[in-house]
Amino acid sequence: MRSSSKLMIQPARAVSKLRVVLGMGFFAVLVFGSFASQIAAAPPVLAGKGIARENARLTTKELVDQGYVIRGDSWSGEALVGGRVGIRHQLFKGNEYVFTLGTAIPVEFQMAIFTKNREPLQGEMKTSPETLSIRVNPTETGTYLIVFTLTSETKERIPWALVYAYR
Amino acid sequence: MPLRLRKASISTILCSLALGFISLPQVLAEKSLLTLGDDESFPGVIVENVVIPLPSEIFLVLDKLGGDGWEVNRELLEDARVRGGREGMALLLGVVIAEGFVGAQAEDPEAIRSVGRNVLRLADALGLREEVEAHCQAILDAVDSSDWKTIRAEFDRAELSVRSTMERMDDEDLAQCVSIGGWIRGTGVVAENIGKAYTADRAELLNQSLIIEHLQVETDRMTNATEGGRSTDLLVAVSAGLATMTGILETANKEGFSALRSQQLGTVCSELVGRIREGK
Repeated sequence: MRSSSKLMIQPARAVSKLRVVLGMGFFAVLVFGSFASQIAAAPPVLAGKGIARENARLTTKELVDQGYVIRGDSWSGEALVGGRVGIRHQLFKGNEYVFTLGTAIPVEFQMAIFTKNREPLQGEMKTSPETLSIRVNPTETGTYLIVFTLTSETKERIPWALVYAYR
Repeated sequence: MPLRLRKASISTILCSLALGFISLPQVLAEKSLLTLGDDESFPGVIVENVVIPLPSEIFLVLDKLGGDGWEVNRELLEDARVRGGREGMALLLGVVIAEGFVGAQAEDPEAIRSVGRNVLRLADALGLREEVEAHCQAILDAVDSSDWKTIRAEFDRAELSVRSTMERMDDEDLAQCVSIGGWIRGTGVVAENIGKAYTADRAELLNQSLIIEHLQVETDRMTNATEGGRSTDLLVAVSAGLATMTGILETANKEGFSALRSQQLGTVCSELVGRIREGK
């Protein structure tokens, strides 16, 4: 009997335990709910960069049929609206390059690639609301500066990603 | 009727465009409005991340300029054992992956298979076997069908997977070591190839001061962070080698490249690869 009474829970105790469990559950819902709302409210920086990279990659995909090799490596970050972002990169004369800048939202793009003498490389640009591609043939082997600005009327900080292909 | 249809089509397209249903890519041939002033400083944010070129990116230009004579270093592949500290192993992994690009250039199936085995062994020793297994399998499958383009892409992906995982595990230094090892081996092969059939156009490919400067900064930072031992000795040797290469490039930029200078760069890289193989 003693052993079985140990296993039995008195009704009053059971109710109080139920209250505790319900209380904990309510607390957990509050805590997790609060976290969930914070996550939802937080700026989705990582997700934004991921989407930006995906948009850029999708645009470059069609280049494979044209004989381009798409690099696995890429750059990404968050740009202030209208602020200039610079990326130093090594280019090799003799290769043709396509740089594709992607964003998670439609923006207005400006992009140019400068030589070490601060002269812009002539190239062909192609835009869509969320990507801008620039195709260039470097005039010499060396370090170039890729510069871009992004403009949006709805966001102050814009996640971006830059991928490149060569052939 | 056809006229009506045409009118209807045109109005539909115009409406769709106005509503943003169709977003046609625009080709803009005009010059960008962005300019840089004469001031040396940059009016904005410079991204610190430097993407290291793949060996195949440079091999491609050499091929266009009439390059051949690609040879895999079989001795290196037979002797790519797990030695030294984690930094040493990561450097060697980078070297071996670069050898894979050489193998793809030489279209040498046996070398690719050997590289695949070595990549698996080194990745295993670094606790990253899972990350490269699928890529190695894809490489071996592509060897069977002589799909050299896929092999190059998979070596790129394998290296990226390893480095990304290292970075996620807060092992950014090891990720840098993979890049450094790969660049040293790739540049050594390019320098040797240029030295064999020298032209000024081919030699220009060695003008990579941004990359050397970046790798030197990273190597010195890692050397300061390590606490002595074999890895430190190896990183000090790599840093010294990069400094020598900077000196050769500075002279070449002043006095012009030559076959001798290309060979000097090749020798520095070759000595560094030797140290990395020994793991000390």
